[in-house]
Amino acid sequence: MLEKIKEILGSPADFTAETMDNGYAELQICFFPGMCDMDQLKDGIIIPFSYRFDPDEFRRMLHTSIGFMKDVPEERWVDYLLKGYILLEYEGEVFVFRAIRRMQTQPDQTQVEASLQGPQSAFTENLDLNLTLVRNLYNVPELTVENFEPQNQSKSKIALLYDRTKRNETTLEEVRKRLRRLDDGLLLSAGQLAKQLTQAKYRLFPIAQVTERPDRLSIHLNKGKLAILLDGSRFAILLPVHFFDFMYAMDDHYEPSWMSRFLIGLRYISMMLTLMLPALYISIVSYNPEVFRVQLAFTIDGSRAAVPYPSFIEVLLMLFMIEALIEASLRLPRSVGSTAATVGGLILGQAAQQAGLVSSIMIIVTSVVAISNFVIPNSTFSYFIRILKYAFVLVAVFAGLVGVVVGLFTLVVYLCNMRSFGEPYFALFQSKANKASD
Amino acid sequence: MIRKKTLVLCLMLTLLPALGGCQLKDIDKRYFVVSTGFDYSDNPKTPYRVSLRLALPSSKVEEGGAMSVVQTVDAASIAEAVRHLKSTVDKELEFGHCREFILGRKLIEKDGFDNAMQWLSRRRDIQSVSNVMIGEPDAFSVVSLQPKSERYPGNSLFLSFGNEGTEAAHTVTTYLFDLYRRLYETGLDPVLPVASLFRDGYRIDRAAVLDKQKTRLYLDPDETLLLNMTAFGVDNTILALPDEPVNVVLAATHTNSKINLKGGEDPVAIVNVRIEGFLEQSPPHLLEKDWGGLERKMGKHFSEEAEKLLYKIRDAGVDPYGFGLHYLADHHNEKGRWEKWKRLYPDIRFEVRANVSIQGSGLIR
Repeated sequence: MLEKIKEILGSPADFTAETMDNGYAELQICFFPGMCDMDQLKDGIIIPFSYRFDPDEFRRMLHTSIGFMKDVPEERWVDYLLKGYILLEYEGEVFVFRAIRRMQTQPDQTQVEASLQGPQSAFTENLDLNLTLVRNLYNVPELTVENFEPQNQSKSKIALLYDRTKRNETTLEEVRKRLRRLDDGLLLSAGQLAKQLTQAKYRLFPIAQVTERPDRLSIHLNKGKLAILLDGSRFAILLPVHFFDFMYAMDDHYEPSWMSRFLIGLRYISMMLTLMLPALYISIVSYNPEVFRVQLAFTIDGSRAAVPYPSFIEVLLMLFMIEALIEASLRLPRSVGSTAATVGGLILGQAAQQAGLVSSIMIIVTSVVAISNFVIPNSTFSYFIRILKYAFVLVAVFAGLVGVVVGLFTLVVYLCNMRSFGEPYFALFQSKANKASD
Repeated sequence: MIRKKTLVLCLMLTLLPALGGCQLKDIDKRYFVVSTGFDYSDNPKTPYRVSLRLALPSSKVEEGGAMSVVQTVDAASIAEAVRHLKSTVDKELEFGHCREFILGRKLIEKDGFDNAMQWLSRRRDIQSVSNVMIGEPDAFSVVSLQPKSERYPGNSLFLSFGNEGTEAAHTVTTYLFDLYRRLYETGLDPVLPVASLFRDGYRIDRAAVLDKQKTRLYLDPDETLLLNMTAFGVDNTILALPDEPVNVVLAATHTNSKINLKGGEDPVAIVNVRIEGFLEQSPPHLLEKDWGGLERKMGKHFSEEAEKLLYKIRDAGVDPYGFGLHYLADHHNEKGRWEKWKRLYPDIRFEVRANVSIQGSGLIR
């Protein structure tokens, strides 16, 4: 056996292949020490084979214990090894022993979707632990887990979760089909998987939601939808989703009703602001100044007097600066991050205005756009909104206020046309018509 | 195939800037007109004199900090004059914030206001909520005044109308859309406020009643107040009853008026006015003596004054109250009813029923 393995693997330095002899019998064993749990190896194999050795008992143990798998086809041996299993040959039979090293035993802290009063535990990069977290919160016998093992380079396990009584059969079948048809490159994260599942590359809005919160996943399952967990990723994929799901923070469930309603309203206003404000600035300043109140018109006129470029250059300049600032501070170490914010936000903004490069109103517009963008609770969604505002800027440059209004109308039409795994994306309520009856 | 598609797309995108680019004009390349005046110039070749007050914007807004310039040009028509004026300024004229249009007294008397209205209602950047008024002695002097109290150009005149700034009882507010309606509606005639200069400010306490062409009647401040109360139901007015040693003055907080036409061949126009308010000035302990009597006395006095005004307006042959419109609305579509009304109107009788209700003396005991 060892020769065959070595033929395929070569002989990497982090690989151990030994033949053990305790004086009575021989045991060929091979594994990746870094991927295996050494305690399990010791308790499960080394001790029974060495100083507690009893040939009958050892044979019986190999054949009955659920830790050992027998009759594994030869071509799958390497696959198991690469996942952290131990391969052993005893008396001419090959067994696979499960001793995968568990990196995590504790649920993570929420990092992306923080909540004030909700559960603080988030998914980890371990699939089994993630399933435990879901089972704890959604503790019903109907919760079904289907495993998929895609034949790509990563071979990470994928689990498809749904509530057996509530799920939609057509959607489920569609997702199964797509999960079987994954391409064979590297599959590294849930976001990547979501991208592959949703297929269309140039869509303007996300049709699958990525979350790190088990409670969000449970609510989603309870609505009869599907969730996908990927081993090695601390995010789950929820689908199908609606436009309005993205504007929903988990705190809305836990806070007083009036407050959460107010906050939801605030989020929609913020979304519209971050989407439209630069475009509105351009179209009002350059096309329809009568929309402002007269005081504001004169003030903007006065503060723009020193600005040498047309309004859209001004807008693009400031938007570039703020995007660069966001992008830079995103990947900075935490200790340097606040410095970047200070330099960018305060000094650059103030200086740009005093240097006569942009008007003072533009500074306000820029900061409102940046802050409003962060109010959107889902980061994927806020990315899409962030890029979409440039479309509106473009339209405003060429067609003014009329263009912005037509653009908004087009956007609504586009949203109405969109489907997320067969369900209307812009629907206010989830359709219950084709719900499975069993 | 895909490359060809991309090429076509790029070509279309490069064509895009040429499409709407000409419309784009930044706010600092525009000259905001804050008030416009139309005058009659006495030159038959170029009878129209257009004066524009142009705002010089500043980023700081402060009392007395308003700066503006006035440009004037004579031309054969208003549209030509405005086009001509463009050659005297360095930025594009923008009428979007022009809320005051002043018609010179002489223009209205000589030429009427139809030509000015034509221009005003056709320009798309002129707002229908603009105020229209008559300038005395001419529009230019009203346009060119720069009051010291102005925070930004044109503010002072604009705040004089409506309820935006001062709520003056003697100021009639006529919006452009209303003027347009009154110009074309049968049986309803326009009223315009008359603005003149008074020290360092404007004095807008008179009104002019017009027919469809020209001015027929100028009202004095007291009559303007009565017109405001009976025709427009303006709140926050005043009602005085001559008395010794001091007039009894009612500050009216609410005024409603309603018109009723009665009688077929010998019509009577009944104007119901309801006035609510409290006494702002009166001899001591007047209310306690005879509350109801005082209310009736004030009502009677108001009715007499208002009827006098109504007969005066009737005799001038104009109808700012819309009695004719009421008549047309009340009578079904018989032929010649408008001609019949025109025959009836000079002999119509008026009856003003004033219901004055005094809420209190304004004092706390």
